[in-house]
Amino acid sequence: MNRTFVKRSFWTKKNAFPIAAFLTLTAVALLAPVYIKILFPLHVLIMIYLYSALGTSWNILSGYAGQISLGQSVFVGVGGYTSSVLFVSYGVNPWLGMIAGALLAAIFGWLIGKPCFRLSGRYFAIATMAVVQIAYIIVTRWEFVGGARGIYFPLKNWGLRFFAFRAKAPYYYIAFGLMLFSFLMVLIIEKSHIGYYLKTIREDEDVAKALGIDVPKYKAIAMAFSTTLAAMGGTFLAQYLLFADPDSLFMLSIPIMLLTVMGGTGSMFGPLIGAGVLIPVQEYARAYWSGSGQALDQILYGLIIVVIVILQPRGLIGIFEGARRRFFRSEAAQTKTPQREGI
Amino acid sequence: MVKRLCGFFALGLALAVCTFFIYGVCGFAYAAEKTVKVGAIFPLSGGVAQTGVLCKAAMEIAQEIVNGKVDDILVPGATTEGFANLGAKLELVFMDSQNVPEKAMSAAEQLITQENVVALLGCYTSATTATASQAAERLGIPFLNESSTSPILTNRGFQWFFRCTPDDDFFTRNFFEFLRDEEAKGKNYGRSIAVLYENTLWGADVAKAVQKYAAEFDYKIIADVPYTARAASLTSEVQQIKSANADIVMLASYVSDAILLQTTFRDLDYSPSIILAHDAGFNDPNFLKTVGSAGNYVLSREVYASTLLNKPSVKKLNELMVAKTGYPLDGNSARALMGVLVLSDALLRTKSTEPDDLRQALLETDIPAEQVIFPWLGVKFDPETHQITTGRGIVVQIQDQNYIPVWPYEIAGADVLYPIPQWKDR
Amino acid sequence: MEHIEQVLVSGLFAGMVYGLISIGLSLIWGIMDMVNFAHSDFMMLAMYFTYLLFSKLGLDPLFSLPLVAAGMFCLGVLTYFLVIRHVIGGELVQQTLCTFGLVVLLQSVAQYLWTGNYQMINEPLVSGNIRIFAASLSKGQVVAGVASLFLAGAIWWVIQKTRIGWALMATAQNRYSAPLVGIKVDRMFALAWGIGLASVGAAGVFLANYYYIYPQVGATFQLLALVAVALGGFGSIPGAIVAGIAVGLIEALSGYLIEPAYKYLVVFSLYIVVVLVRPHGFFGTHS
Repeated sequence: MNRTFVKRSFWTKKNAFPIAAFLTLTAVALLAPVYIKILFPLHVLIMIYLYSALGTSWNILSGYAGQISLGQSVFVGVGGYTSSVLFVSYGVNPWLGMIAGALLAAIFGWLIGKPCFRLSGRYFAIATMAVVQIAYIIVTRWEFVGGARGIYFPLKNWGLRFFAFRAKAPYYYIAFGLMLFSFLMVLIIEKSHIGYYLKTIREDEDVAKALGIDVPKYKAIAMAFSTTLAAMGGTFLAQYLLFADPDSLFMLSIPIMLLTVMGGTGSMFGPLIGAGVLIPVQEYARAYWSGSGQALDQILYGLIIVVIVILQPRGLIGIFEGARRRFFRSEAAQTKTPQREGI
Repeated sequence: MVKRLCGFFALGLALAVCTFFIYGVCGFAYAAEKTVKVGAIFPLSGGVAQTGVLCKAAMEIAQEIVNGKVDDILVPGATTEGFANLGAKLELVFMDSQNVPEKAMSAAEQLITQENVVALLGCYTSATTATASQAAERLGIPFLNESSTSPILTNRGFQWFFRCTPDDDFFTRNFFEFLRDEEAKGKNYGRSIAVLYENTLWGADVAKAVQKYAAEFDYKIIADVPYTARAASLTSEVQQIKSANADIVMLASYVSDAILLQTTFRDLDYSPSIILAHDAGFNDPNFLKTVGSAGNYVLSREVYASTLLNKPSVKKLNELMVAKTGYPLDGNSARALMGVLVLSDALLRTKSTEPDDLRQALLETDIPAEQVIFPWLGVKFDPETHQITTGRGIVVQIQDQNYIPVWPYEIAGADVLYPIPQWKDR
Repeated sequence: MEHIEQVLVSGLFAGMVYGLISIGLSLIWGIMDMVNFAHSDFMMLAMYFTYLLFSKLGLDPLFSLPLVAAGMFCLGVLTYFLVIRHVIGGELVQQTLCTFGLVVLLQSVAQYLWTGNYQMINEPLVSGNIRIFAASLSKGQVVAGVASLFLAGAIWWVIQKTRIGWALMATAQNRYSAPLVGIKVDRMFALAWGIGLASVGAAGVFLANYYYIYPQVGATFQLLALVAVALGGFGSIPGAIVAGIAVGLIEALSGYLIEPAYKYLVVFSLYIVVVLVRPHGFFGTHS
């Protein structure tokens, strides 16, 4: 396999706007806890960052590699439960627990992927749904991990060492860090041959095989990235809630997928945009409308999903890219045609 | 055309989102009549929504009583208008937990940090109460629970959590005391028990309590069957119970499964001699409304029975409830109502709305028995666990589609109908 | 083991209902290559229609069946033209997202219109028990089971023996060449949605005879229907019925022999095993 790839430089003029925007937003975000004193918006932002990271984990497997999984939450659950059980039952430090959770999730991912990757798109999707239901049932009946009642953390040890805080600000920064870590993962994938191979596999698996790409190996690599990130998100969520139960950790597959697709699969900022739109809508609609019991907030949520899917199948990022293309139209005419992607 | 409509919708939505976010961040407070805000978290959508909606209605009735001057209902807060000591009226702010523990926690945080409530009420199901009260504990705001009965809730060493309902441990013990009293009267219901319970925090705790007291009162549990709540079919579960052929069948379900169970009993033509249901779904008005006469003969533990309507306050409250919702009061909605009144009683005595003062007022609660709409000895909290010490449970039986108290004997309205006849004989 | 007949018979009839629900799903999947995750929620709508016709007009479900089925057919066509058409060319994720959005929408609109209260049709024409061998079943379940076989047969006959059915099959096999022989693909898709929803609507009518109705009632059946369709092979009507029955039997047997809390675990595990061994299910043909 010819490994001389034409590298696209990251620091081009076309990328100037997004990079500048990104840096500005990062600076703003880092300072947020200082000037936002009301806790609720901070909570919304934390959720946005967390779901952006979780969405990215799904994106790596489903968006880049094209293996649409409807059971991403199983890894969130494995990660969250591993660290929780280790902490509550054995006193293991949650940070170590996070690493253990990620490892365990990666192993699970490999075990599940090995047989299931042979299945084609829809069957794979339904198989992942079945897997997450199986995991949910097992966890609900397994007394050792708390069964149906879940795991309640004792509310006494606070501080960075214990990954538990009374205030929101530390969680905010950790969530932000997790999101940056997820971007780093995507960058590594996008800028290396892994990204190219995965996209090829996504577009046409048979062609990829014909070109000599070791398809199972790269699917497994995607799975490894995906599960690790998801598990880390799971640990964070458990530590944020100081509570772990089957519903809160194993039933997140649909929201994760939803906001990523809405934002735009196969792109780095898609999950963030999707989370940035859907989560505030959900939280604020619930705050103002759920009290009546008429499910107005849910009607809104459903409408949004259907509308955006109809309007912009490529997700919200399609809107941004369209705008960018128009803005830089003159530049594009001058820039040489970028090197051909792929092989 | 559809696309264009969608475009407009999306644009309007984007504007709304920005507005909400800015509003949320800047936290505009608009001045209205001065109120003391109390948050109430209940499942207003999802599987147990109808119970949540009824609880909400009952609480709104309580709110009106507290804020207005009512002479013919003898409950805390009736004779005053609002809280004179605080110069404000009561404002309940409701939020939907969707019966999801994580959402309940989020709602609690929202109510405390966004709406600045001075206390929280809720959340009906034990799992959601557990997480919401955890948020309150972390943020140091009093949480009064009026209807969740899992014993663990007051065993967590929390400082800010109060519960004004007896717990499952207490209620389950009631059941066995009832059986013992019936035996003393010469009625023998047998010694083997089959227990079928939903696999959640509440159901599992009920099963544990049953095991504990069965051993203590010398009963044998010959079948212990957990099931996944809200299943499509409960045939296998009922089949297992039927095969066990126990003398006594105990059930712990919320309303949707209670309905399914009862109809499955009928479909499978299974009629145990006696059914003891652990409250919750079987006491919900929707249960009888949906299953009709198939619900007859079921015994249930309760705190409230409409035959207590000889208390004029209770009768008046029941009328208000029926006028508002078309449903009578039941154990769950009545306890929700009482929760608002207990909290209002504390608010009437508190020095200020600061959490510490309100907490102190709650600790000092001592409501006399006449002002409680249940057959309790009053309302007082244990100083350590904040669990109510003066509650009492009763046992009712559904006879002719009415809940008739059968125990304790001083308030009983009828004898227990035993054994339950076969389906073809009904 | 003496109750095994009860378990088997209950499982069999429950499975027939699962099969009935799955037929429409299989049809839509087979013809349009699209998984409708909102399928059971349309059934929930049909159940509400049935209930409303019963409580407002006193129409028994057996008589409202043609009305509800026709109504669901129109709803299917309408949904296709308003919503589905826009995502039909898109990727799997878009279609999935779209139908999941419909799930949320349908459930919340139902909650809004009719509240979360449980409704049940009391004393329909088909009520009471019936004994089959040593087993006891509600008459409603038996009627639903028998009806599902008839309906499956009817739909299968339409697909195999009528021109419209051939047009549908042609579209399923190759939607790009179908226009070359004069088939309007758009109309075929709308028809598929119409028939699919009409059949799940019929399932809802029969279910309403003995099951309780609330906004989330579809959720309990959805995954089972998906599993049944995938097991049976998408696009295969007999496959959907057979797999549905299999799912019902496995659910009942594992619930009885192992433990009720684990019954779905067995169903899903077996699904994964079967799908790994035979990726296209029992009767699946397409690649």
